[in-house]
Formats: sequence, C-alpha cells, structure tokens
Amino acid sequence: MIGVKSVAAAALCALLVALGAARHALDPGTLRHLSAGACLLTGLVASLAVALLGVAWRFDVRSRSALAVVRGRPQLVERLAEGARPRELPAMVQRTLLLVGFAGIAIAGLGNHAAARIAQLPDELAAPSPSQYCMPEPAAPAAPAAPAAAPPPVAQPGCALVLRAYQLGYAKTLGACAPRQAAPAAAPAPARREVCTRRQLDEPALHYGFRRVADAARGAASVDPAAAAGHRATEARAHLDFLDSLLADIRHAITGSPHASHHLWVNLPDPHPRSVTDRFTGHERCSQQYADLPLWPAWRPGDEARLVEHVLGQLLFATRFGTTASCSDYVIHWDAAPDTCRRLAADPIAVLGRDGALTAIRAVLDRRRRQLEIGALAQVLGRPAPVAPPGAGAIASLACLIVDPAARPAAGPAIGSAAGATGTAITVDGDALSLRELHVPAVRTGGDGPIDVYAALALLLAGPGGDLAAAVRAPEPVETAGEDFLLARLDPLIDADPFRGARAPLGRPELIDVYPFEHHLHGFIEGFRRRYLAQRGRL
Amino acid sequence: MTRRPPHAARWCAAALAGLAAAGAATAQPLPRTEHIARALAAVRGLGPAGCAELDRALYDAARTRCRADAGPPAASCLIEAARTVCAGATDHARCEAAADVIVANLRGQTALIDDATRFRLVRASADYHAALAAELHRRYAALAAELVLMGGARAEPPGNAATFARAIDELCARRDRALHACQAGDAACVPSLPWSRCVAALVWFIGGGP
Repeated sequence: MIGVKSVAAAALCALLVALGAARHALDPGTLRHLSAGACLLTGLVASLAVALLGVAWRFDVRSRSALAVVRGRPQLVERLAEGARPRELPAMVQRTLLLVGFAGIAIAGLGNHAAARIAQLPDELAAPSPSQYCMPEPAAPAAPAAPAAAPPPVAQPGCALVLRAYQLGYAKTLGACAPRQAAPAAAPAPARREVCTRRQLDEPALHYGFRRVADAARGAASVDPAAAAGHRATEARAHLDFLDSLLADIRHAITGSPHASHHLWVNLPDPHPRSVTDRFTGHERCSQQYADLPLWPAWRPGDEARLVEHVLGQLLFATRFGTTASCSDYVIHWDAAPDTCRRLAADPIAVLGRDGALTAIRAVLDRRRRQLEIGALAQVLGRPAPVAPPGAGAIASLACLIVDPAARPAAGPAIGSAAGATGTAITVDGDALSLRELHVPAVRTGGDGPIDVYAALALLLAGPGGDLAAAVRAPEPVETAGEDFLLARLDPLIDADPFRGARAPLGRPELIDVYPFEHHLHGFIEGFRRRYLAQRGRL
Repeated sequence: MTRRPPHAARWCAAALAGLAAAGAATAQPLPRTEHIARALAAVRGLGPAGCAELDRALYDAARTRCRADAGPPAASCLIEAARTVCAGATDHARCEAAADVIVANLRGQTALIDDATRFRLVRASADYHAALAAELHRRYAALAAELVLMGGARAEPPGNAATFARAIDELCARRDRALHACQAGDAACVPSLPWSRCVAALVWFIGGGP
C-alpha cells in the first residue's frame, strides 16, 4: 500500500513538469539563458505555491487512504484501520516533488522578459506622471539651417524651341516658358508655451499644497458668492426638472435598449423554425449568421424564405459591399398574414403588440425622446447641445413583403417583377413611422429569380432608384457556340448587368460558374446602400 | 375577375416551357479546361517574340479599328480583328488561341490598372504600350502567386497540362466569389476579376508572354 499523498505528489509533479516541458521551459537552451532575476522569481513563486498548498496538505501527517494493488489491479483503500501504516514518501521528498513541479510551470509562465518587467514595476510606479507633474520641456528643435541655394530652374516640356528662339534673339520674352521656381517654404510659427500649474518635479509637497489652497481661495474671492450660489441653485433646479429624462437615459444605456428598430413582415414560412436544441443553446447571433454569406448560392424550390433572408443579408449586412446596417436593429416576422400592413395601418399598437414589435419600437422612440430632452436641458444650462438624434422615421420603420400570386407585375426590369411599393405613415406614441408594402407575384429560386428578390427588397426598403439602364450602352450578346475565342466571347458578361435588364445569361446553366456576380452585385448593392443608409440612422 | 387563357394557348405555353427546361437541362458545360490547355500551349508555342508581335498587332488593331482609345473595345470587334491578323499565320489555330488570350487581356486592362496609374504611365513613359505591359506583368505575377498558394502550380512541369489548366479554371471560377478589395495604387492586390480575364492573365504570365 502506498499513501495517497505520496501518489498525488508524484503525479502532480509529473503533470506539472510535463506541462512545463511542453512549453519548452525545461529545454537546456531555456535553462541556460535564464536570468538571475527569473531564477529568483521562479523560486519565490514555487516556494510560495508549495507553502500555501502545504497548509492543506499537511506533509507531516500520514495519508488516511492508500493505493493498493489487489489481484494485479490498483485499488483505493479508504479509511485505513488503526495501526495500518501505508508506505509514504518522506515529507521533505513530497515537498521537493511539488517544488520541482511548480518551478517547471513557473519557468514556462514567467521567463526572463516577465521577470525584467516585474523588476521594473516599482520604478515605473514611482515615476512622476505627466498628469500630476510638470514634465521638462522637450529640447527645442535645432535652429533652421540656412536656406539652401535655389535649384536651377527645370526645363519645361515643350519649351525647347521657344528657349532656343529666345537665346538666338528671335523672341523677346519666354512667355509661358519662363523658368518657374517654387516659393520657399514659410518657417513654422513658434508654438505657444502654456504655463504649467501642476506640481514641479522638485517642488516640496507642502509648497504644492499651499499653492493649491491659495489658488482655490483666489478663485473663490473673484466671484460673487451670492451669484455663484444662485447659479448653482438654478442648475440644480434644471437638473431636477429633467431628472426623469436623465434617469431614463441612464437606464437605456445600462439596459442596452435598441438603437433602432426596423421590422419586416413576410408571408413566407420561417426558414429557421426553433428546434428543441435552440431552446437550450439559443439562436446564432445575427452578426455571425450574416458574416460570410455566399455570393450566389444555388437555390431550390422550397428555399424561398431562405432566399429572401439571404438577399436581405446581402443588401444590408454583408461587409464585402462596404458600410453595413446593424443586423440587431432588424427583425423579420415570418409567417405574416397577407393583410398585415393593412391591419398595421388600421390599428398599429394592437398588431405591433401581438407580433412582439411594440416593446422594441417604444424603447427606441423613448430613447430618442430622452435624448431630445437632454438637448433641451443643455440649452437651458447654456451648454453646447449634443448632436440631435435622427428623426423617428429614420430609427424605426415597418415594411411588408407579401407574396401574392394575384399581384400585378411591373413593366420595367429595373424593379424586377414587382409592382410599385405603396407607402403610408402610422403614428406610435405621437411619432410618425413609415409603413411600406410591396406585393410580388412569386419568389422564384431558379434562373434570374433571385434578381427579382434583390430588386423587390431594394424597392421596398429604399424606394425606387434612378433608371440607370438608360445611361448604359446595351451589352454585347454572349455567344458560347463555337470552338474558338471562348475567353473573348465570355468577356462581355462583365457588361451584362442583370439589374439593368441583361438577364439572359442567368438562364443558361453553363454560364453560372463564370458569371461575374461579384461585379454586378457590388454595383447594385452599393447604389442601394447609398440610397437606403441616407434614409436611416441610429441613436 | 381574372382572365384564363384558352386551352390551345395553355398547351403552347406548357410546350414552350418544357422545351426551355429541356434545353436548360441538356445545356453542355463549356469546354473550359480544354480551352485553357489549348491557350496555354499556344502562348508557349509562339514564344516571347511571337507573343510580343501578335500583342502589338492586336493592340494597334484595337486602337485603329475598335476605337480602344475611347473606351473598352467591343469583344466582337476585337475577335474580328484577331481573325484578320491571324489569317496569314502559318499555324492558324495556334495564332487564334493566343489571340483569344490577348483580346481578353486587352479588355481587362482598365479593371487591373486604375486611372491614376495609367495617367502616370502616360506622363512618364515614352512607350506607353511597353510601360503598360510591364505594369500588367506585375499584376499577373500577383495573380500567379495566388495560383501557387492554392497549390495549382504543382502540376508543373508540363506534361500534365490538363491538370494545370484545371487548377487555373478552378482558381478563376472560385476567386470571384471571394472578397478582393484593393486600395488605389496597391500593385500587389488584384481586384475581383471575371473568369475570362483571370484565365487570360494567368495563361499569358505562365505561358511566357512578354
């Protein structure tokens, strides 16, 4: 039987030494270059660790349990009988084993650099801080050197003939070919020195204290005490008047109220129905969800909702297209009723409350109102007002994308196959919010269907863009038949912008792999964000 | 009330849709790898001197016939010009395969070299075409480095040109899907490129174009 303490000491030592060795702490090269400071620090740390552990370990007391080998297998024997004496390593050996283990791990964790930094710490703490002391002025820059001789004028291109004519006397002046010389650079104005009123490096503490008291007394004597007290009272009264807003603003900051709240209702099924696992692990963060969206994934029938979600992510949150919106400000309400927007217009509070959007919208509007009131407080106090928050319509909005087979397709390709969006305004707690609605006949996942979704969502969120198709020349047709000039015949795909009507290549599967989606999506999404982000803001 | 189409019209529409679906389903994939291998062999076969001569001829043709000075020349015009230039070549097919690469590179110049760099080249060099070719060579080299990093250059030395062509095709088809945001004047950064221009640049560089 071997005492558990002995076994534990040996195992702990082996484990710590192995860890240290894995971090190359016990390499001969490391040990050879260990500085005296690092050795001392390692010894201190290891000794302290063993001493602390020793309080609970009680090296001088024998183990009450032991490890025995019964029928060839190790077995733990607890509560040894009186008089049973398991074999035990001497206390000093146990201490030494633990010391070696802790030393190994301390070398790995500390090293020469850490030891040097720790040794410098007292000096760094004792060094005078520029925020408390007047530090010596940096050395004045050397006097500017005497101005160098002006470089010879540089011959100007195209003036050789004029110059020659002037030299030969055929021309009286050089005109525009006259040599030009740059004006010498003006000497920099001497910087104004500010008087330092902090403590001087060699100033006794008592003198500095007296100076502070004298300054305070001089300041107090320079103002009328009654006026100062009156001013203070006015300030306190103004703060009390705005106390509710001040506290609410702090509450919004602490509780993390949303900075904006935009809601989109879609009458498609939720592409991510909550599973049992989700209830335990929670949803994936939207920033992760939209972090690395594929450029043009292949969609199949049934992926309509995922396609809409993907397009919204590309339009608003994909970082590859420049400045993004914040995805935490957006909520998509799936499985919406086709008449959601009509009901929102009729009774916004009820519909928003039913769909769980009211709390967020009210929080955003309240946060904005508080910020306006804090601006008013600053005005009352005669202080510079903070930046005014964006309008209510910029920080909260409502929109509906309704797939309605009876919807009327639009004529132009610029807005896809959706009829124009309708817009109105609703009022929530006295603030007007925009409500936009768009009906599309279908969400097609194949061919150029995703282009329709891009166009429809862009129209719904940002309104119509300029008709760029008119400004661009018609792209060349892409002809892939034939054996020769494949590269040259595919190159016009770069001009075939599907958002400007050139959609034929998207219906040809052989071209999808080589279609320059990045180029076309970039142009479209950049234009969309330029329009959309100008209409939106955050608190 | 909605209008319903008559039966005949519906049958016609269904038949057309079926034909279109069948056409889409039976669309042959483009012979991309084979074409790249052919182009690579053509550029190698012409050698630096032959490539330089063909490049100069097509550059001049682009300026005189396709109004390349006013903007990117049309692909159809460049193809016609290339066919004319190659009409008198001894190896007609090889000339056209190499000309295809040059035509795609000619159209891709503006995407690879920004306006500021081109203005600098116009101001600073006596031979704009040669200076432009040197500047493009740097961009092509950066693109070739991407191919090496991807592991595509392991198919060298020649002998397994198909594998090499497949690597070029794979890089160029996949590369456009990733983000390539370049700052102005960054010669080491090659922007997002369509497949045709990426392939042409790589074939020209690897094939030993001047």
